[in-house]
Amino acid sequence: MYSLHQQYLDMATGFHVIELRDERGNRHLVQLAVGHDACPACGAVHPKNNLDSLDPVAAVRQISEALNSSQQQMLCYAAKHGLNIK
Amino acid sequence: MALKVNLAQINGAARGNSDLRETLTGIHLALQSLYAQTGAAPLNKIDAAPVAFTAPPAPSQLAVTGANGSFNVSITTPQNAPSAGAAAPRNATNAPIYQEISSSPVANFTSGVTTHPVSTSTSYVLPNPGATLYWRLRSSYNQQNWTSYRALPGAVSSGLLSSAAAASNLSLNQSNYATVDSVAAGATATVRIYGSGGVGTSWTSILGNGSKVIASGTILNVAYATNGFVVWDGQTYQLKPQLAQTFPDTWVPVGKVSVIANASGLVLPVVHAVVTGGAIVAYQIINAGNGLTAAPVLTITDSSGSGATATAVVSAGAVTQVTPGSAGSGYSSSPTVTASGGVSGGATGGGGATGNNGGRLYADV
Repeated sequence: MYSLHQQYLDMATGFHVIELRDERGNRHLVQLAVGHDACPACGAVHPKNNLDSLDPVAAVRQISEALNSSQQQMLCYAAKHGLNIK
Repeated sequence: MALKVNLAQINGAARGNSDLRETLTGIHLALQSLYAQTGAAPLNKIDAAPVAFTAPPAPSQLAVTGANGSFNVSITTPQNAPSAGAAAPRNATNAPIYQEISSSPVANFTSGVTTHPVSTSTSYVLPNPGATLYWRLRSSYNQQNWTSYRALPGAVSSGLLSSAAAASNLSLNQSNYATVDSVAAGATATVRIYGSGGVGTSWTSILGNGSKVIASGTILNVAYATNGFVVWDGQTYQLKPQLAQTFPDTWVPVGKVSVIANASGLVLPVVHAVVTGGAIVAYQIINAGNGLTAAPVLTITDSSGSGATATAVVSAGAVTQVTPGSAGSGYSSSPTVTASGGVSGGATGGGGATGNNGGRLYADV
């Protein structure tokens, strides 16, 4: 099942990086864009103005639940059909 | 029954098969030599003139280096070799020496051998990004009598083709199986990167002869009305506004995503017309636009000219090409090109967003 492996703020790229891993080493990255936006027409940058409303915990919970639900279904399927799991 | 054979017959029988001709000639010469030594004639000797045997030249020296995705092959002929230790003959007459280079992924050349065309050239640049090969060389004056193969002692790697060394529009020989898309998530959009198994599954990047599995990703809080090029930097995903920002050689371009909220977030392209002799001969894309899900209609207006038409081509939410139709006539130097439409089926995705598969990436810088 996926769980939090590490998280950090990458100032260079403007991402709050959250790495989820399961017991088999599979990874899923959740990256919250907290840096600036760039206008596609003129290239001007605009700082994010919604950081206070971001809820990374909720985001991780939601994504983890979705991944784990899918994984649980696959494991049940494997058990039902006697499949080896790689 | 006496067997009669001469070199002309061998050449005729072998035709274009140089290996067969070489083998038969060798047998013929060996038998002739045996006849000369013993006086016994295994074959009826019918050649009127003595066989002109051209000995192979002294060995040439082979050097192969790899850089920027290519093998650089250099051959030093005997006459140009350092004198120390050189054995005769030295090809003092500078006769042309035919060189045959071949390569293989294995040191004993038992499989995967690539033999390059025989030539008298002494330097080659052979593009083959990401390959590691063993190399050998043999030489001949007449393409019949060859020196033995001289192989380099170790394998040579060509290295990766750097973006700086790549020509424009060059296929980077890199494929991936990532899907990059975006979905609306309230006030912002979410960009997703995933594999063929669906959202949350990893994907495989293929680069040259290698491949690696890369984690899936979810990028949250992406502003609407933006274009982004998603690239994997080895640790995380990055979302860059310009394609050229994804070119560091150790990064893996993943795909382009065009994020819009709805039709109101559509950015129509800006196109300028190029006028020559009153006719519009070309179009310049000033702004490719964003969030386009259909080709916008281009209308050309001008104070004096008329009749020109053009068609926009859309890919990944933006205009990639404007194809001139009728050139029209009588145009001033600055007609106005107006884009309209650009959205199919009403509001795009009902407040969603558009994206596209990463697939194969072409450099165009």
